[in-house]
Amino acid sequence: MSGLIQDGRYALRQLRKSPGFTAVAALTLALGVGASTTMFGVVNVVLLQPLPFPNPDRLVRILATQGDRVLPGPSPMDVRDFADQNHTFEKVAVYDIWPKNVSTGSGSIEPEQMRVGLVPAEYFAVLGIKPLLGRLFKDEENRWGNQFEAILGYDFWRTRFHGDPSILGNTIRINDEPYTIIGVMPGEVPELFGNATQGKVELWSPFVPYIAASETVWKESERGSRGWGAIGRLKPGVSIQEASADLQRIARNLAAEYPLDRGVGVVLHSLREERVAALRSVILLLMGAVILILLIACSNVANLLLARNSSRTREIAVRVAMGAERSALIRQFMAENLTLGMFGGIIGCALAWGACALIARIHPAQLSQLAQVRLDLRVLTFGFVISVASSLVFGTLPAWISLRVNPSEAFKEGGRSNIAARGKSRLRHAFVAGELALAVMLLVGTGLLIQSLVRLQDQQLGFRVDHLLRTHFFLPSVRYPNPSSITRFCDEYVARVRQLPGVQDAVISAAYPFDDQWTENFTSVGRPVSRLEETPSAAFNVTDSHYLHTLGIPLLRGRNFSDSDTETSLPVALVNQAFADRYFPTEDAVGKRIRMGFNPILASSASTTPFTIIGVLANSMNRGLALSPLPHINTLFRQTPELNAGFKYLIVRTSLDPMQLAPPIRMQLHSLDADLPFAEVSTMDQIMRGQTADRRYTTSLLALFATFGVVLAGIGVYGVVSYVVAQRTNEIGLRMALGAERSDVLWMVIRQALWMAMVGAITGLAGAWTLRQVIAQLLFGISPADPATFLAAALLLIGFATAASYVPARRAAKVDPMVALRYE
Amino acid sequence: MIDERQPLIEIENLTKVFYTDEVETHALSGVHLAIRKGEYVAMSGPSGCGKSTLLSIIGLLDTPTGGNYRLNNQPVENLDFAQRSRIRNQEIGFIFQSFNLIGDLTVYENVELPLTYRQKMPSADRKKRVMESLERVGMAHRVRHYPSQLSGGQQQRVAVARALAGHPSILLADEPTGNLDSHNGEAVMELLQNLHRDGATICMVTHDPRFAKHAQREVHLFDGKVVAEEELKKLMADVHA
Repeated sequence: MSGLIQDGRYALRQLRKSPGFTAVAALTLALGVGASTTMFGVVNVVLLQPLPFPNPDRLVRILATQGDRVLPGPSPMDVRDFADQNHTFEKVAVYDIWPKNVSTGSGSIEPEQMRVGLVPAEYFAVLGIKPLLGRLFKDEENRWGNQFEAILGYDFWRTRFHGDPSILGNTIRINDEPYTIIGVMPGEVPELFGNATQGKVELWSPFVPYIAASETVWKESERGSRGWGAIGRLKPGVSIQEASADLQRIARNLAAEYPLDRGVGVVLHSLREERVAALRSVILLLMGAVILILLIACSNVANLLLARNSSRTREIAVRVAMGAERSALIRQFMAENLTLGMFGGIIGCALAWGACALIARIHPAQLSQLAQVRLDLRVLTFGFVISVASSLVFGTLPAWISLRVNPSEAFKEGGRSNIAARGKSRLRHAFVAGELALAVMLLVGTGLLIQSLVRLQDQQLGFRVDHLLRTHFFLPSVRYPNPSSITRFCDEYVARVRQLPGVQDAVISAAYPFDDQWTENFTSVGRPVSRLEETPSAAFNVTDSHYLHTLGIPLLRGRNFSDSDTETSLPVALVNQAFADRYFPTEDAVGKRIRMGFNPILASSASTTPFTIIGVLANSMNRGLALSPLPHINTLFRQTPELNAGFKYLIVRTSLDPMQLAPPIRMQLHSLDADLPFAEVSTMDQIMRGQTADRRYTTSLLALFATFGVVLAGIGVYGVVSYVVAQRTNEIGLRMALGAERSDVLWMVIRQALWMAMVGAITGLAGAWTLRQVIAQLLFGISPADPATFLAAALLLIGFATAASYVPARRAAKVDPMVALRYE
Repeated sequence: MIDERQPLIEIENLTKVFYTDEVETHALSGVHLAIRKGEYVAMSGPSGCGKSTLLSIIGLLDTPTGGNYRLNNQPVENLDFAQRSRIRNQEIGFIFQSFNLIGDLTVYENVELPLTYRQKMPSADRKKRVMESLERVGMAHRVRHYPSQLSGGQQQRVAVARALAGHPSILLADEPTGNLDSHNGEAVMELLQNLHRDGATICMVTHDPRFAKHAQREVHLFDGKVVAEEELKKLMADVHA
């Protein structure tokens, strides 16, 4: 024990004696530990932490399938049958999230558009969450006419009602209807089920979804109405596979019984997996990157230790002469390395604490989980463990090499163990080459992601993104009970907006590019489908006649919508090129007629009046930037009453800064209806940036890590070359005395760095090639083995290593032969 | 009591060859040597004759290429690193030309160093041994000093105290006065003589005949072999001629 204390005391003294070495080594280690610990903080929150519900492993999301496609969710009717007929679930619940106009105060306060969860009584029971205040919904409240009860989310309650514990029984207005507050839920529910880009769920009302007062989902004709959310809690001991087989059995029975369910299957995803699946690959990539940084930092520290241990040869020899066994010497070195590791770990954890706070504060909306990133006990333990482990692992080799000292040689004046010196030199060069290899891998990854991002952003979008403003409004059915009232309001509103100075054109539309994935089935007149599952589908949108002009989408063939296309005229449709290519590859789509909805032979919900295709548009991105456009159909909402819902976007083409026009447009909205929220105000440029925000964030982080890695590797090259120059001062002096010119010496030193850089670059490229599949799924439009990126990364690193060696090389070239030889 | 009949060190036909790339250097070529307990032996000879190599092998810092070496009647020429470490720690005390005190340790810690490598030695015993040794060399008043705060002569006295602290069977001194002025050199030689008088076995390498005379017996080395004094003189004369 006293030996350990003595080792520790001596280690502290050693580190204090060399403050420069200690500071550089501890900070280098701290950088690696800090980056790794920060990323582990992210991994901890996103991938490792269990869902905040009891027995979270038993929670699953239920999704519908059609052929190979996974649809968002089954219809409420199907969910009801799943709940009634299964043997493997404790509970199953259907739900949905709708934007609604919510008013919490008196009539003078403008309502806000909020995301409202429509949930049955079973929803919270499935999750296992109890209300903080009040009660859950009752079964009878899930019926039309009984649904006017609301449960508030924790944040909504805190911010709008200041956490008032006597809030129960008060009234709020949702879509102009009074709802009684019956409960307040704890905080974790909105965080889990919120939509990152559209905001979180603020409150819940019973599951009574309707668009017009007469509509309800609880009828057989709505069995084909898929796209709802569904979750379930498995019985104890039931696996997802068993539950999946159980529901598939029921789905087969439903398909046999109901034509609308033909070809429709079911699949279960673990709720936890649903939450992390999209982020796993990117987070693991970043975790891999910081581990590379940690390895680079550790290699640097190992090199520093080797250099420092070289100056302790005589001390080691003395200890050996005094009878120190290897184990005692190793213990001494380990005590020093451990102390160094602790310093690095403490500083690294402090850095990680700051970085975690920064990530929690600054992150794209798409990665909302990052708001929870913090340095908790688990993350702190990780930081501590990697600090200790890296200092021990990377300290052992230098210590072992340093112990290969020949004491009788070491005691001679100027004596040096050639074997050990050569071993150290080889190891030092190997460490630097290894660092450079890791840095090349980081550079390749960063290069690929940057090019991927550039290609994504440089894509042909199919419309003009600039000078476009988008806002959303919702016309509640209480005051806008039918399609004609909705159409009247829309016509009046958009006409007023078009009159505003600075407005070039405006359109009211149910969807817009980037987020245009409302999918509908259709059939072509004269091409009946024999099986329901073969019914074609396309992205679908209802707009007014100014859609093309406002968005700047080129018309390729046929004609545009016109003001003469009215409710009483022949229904018309525009389709995109992808639609024409897929469904009319050998003939002109213009003039063809399509019916929206399912085949009328099989389903009662099919429309009876066919739409005539009057024009073909250029493709525009309708499912994000990374995916090719889906076939797309546009109709006029005035001619499509069954799909003319109160949810609408106003899109305005401006000649000014679009945001400048938001206040006058808002005035126009409120001059027509003061109770409508002016919501989701954004420019199309902002929406476009939002499409790539997560990729930009990831790429920026990787670029930052690569910069760390390259700088650390550069420091490694600089350190080793400096050390070698110092060791070879006499030799250099001798060479110069024998006639070597300064340029010869300069080249001799740089050549050494170049050699290490080339070995590192080749090794790094081999590593990057081997690991190319790790990054492949995050790339867009570029191969993970892109030769130009590989070459550029290698050249960049070789150039950087050469630059890092230039300063010590110049120092070597300035050696005065007289001084050097006198020193000898 | 010292048994003068019992050799502490017995070396027979000892050889040491250094291999550097393709060059073989014969540092020792068939050395025979015996040192009895309580004996004070000086080894002398010209530079490169193998004195320090022989001392390193005697001190188990190096291993011979051939021949036999018995220390305290035990063969030690083929021991592994750990066994040699243990014997070095128990049986041998080193005094170096350049003192080789560890700069980051105090005088006390330097002297204590060999004792810290002994298993299960209580710290009270260590302290007793350290203070005894330092008092013996007259440095007990400098326990908290660092080597850099001492003169060369004082440093060498601390080094002697360190060699004594472990109560070794033999003290090996490699040019102990080489880095000292004549005054301090004489003081160290006097210290070694006092230790010998008290029963210590000493083997000292020196090239200075004045200091070699302090020993009971002088062993002359030339080209890796032990030679008689007259023969050494003749060989040296041949070299100079």
